[in-house]
Amino acid sequence: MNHEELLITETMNTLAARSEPAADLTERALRTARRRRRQGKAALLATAAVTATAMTVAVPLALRHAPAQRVRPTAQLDVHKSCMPRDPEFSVPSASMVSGKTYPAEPPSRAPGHAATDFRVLATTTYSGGTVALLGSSVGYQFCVLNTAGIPVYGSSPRTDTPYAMYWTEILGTSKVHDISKLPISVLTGLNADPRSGAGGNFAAGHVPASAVRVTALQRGRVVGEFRVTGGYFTSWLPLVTAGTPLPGGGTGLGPEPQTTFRAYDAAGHLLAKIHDSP
Amino acid sequence: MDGEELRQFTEFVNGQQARLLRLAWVLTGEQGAAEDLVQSALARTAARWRRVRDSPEAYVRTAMYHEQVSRWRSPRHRRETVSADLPEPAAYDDTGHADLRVSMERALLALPARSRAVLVLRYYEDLPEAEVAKILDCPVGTVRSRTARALARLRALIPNPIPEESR
Repeated sequence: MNHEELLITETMNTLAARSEPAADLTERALRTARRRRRQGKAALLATAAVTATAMTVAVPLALRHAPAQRVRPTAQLDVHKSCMPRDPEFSVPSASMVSGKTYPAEPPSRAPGHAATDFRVLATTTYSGGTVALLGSSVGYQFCVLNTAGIPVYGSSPRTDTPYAMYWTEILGTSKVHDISKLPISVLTGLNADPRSGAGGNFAAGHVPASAVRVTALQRGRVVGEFRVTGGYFTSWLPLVTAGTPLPGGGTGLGPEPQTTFRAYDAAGHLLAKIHDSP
Repeated sequence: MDGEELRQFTEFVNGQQARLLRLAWVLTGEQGAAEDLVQSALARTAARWRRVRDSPEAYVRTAMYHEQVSRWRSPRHRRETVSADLPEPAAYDDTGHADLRVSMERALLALPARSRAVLVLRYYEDLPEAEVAKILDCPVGTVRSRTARALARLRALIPNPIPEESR
């Protein structure tokens, strides 16, 4: 084992040593198993009904606001083909019951809203390293980053595995809600390496009021990005601001990644909503 | 699950939970998520107890890896921040080892779960590539390429790169 491998092993052992005993693990596991069994039976009987409910309640915004009107059809098709080349694998919400709605432990792959063809491109942002896209169906979404060649990437590596999707209930920051249309604004962020340079950077995607036309991102009181809203959705890419990083408007970053504030404005420039996202 | 099976399952959980939680901690990087992961994998194990009771540990570990790889896609599992700056000066260490370990820890936690999982299997569990391939249900060549990519990503996330000669 070389020095690097030893360091990895040592670090992992340090992490493992932080684990603490968990209470009632047996009972908790058995309860979860019982709940999943019940849900599995119910899902078989009522998949169509559950999905229909989700379609009308969960995120009809994706379809209602016709986001395709603002994204060039050809570009949209290219993004869709790259991000969703086949039916996605759905990640089950960590809590199978959210706000009174249940989600199947094993998502039905052929149910409405679960196929690649059910997804539409909701918003895109182009930056020097490629494109950040948010795709959505009536039941879920996918956050996708493409490099300049149009290849989906995780960090600096091409994404080669099955495309993934999340149920809308998991979207947008810390709020676990079933109907995101009830939130004035919500944002999810993710960290990744810049697909082009390998440097750190932040993705964000969000849902804002339908009347919003632009979203700004502020760090340390300075506007560091401005993004277009399409049908109540936006995506963004922000460089990772660390010590020495030049800031827009002069100066350099002073320390760890600062908090980002997203503000949504309407066409008249009125502030509609804002949200802070801690790094 | 009848009374005898319940006893066996309970005995299994009591005997393995500390080890499973340690593994889950390395995979998730936090106690709450680690407990969720173990609980969920144990629930799957309980549901298939009759089929897996001869080798439940292998089953639950495999379930944990697969579940974690799908879970990472949740935004809350991608919120870790990698920074080039240490939060506070590390204790004096003329080898720079402490700094490097802090950086390594952050970088490991910032890796996508799929990358982290393959490194955990190789370097924490110390499993041969063939065994890793079996758990991840992929060819050995894929394990090799994923490991190489994960290591490359790890190096990219560490502000003070590990010297070439130390690799």
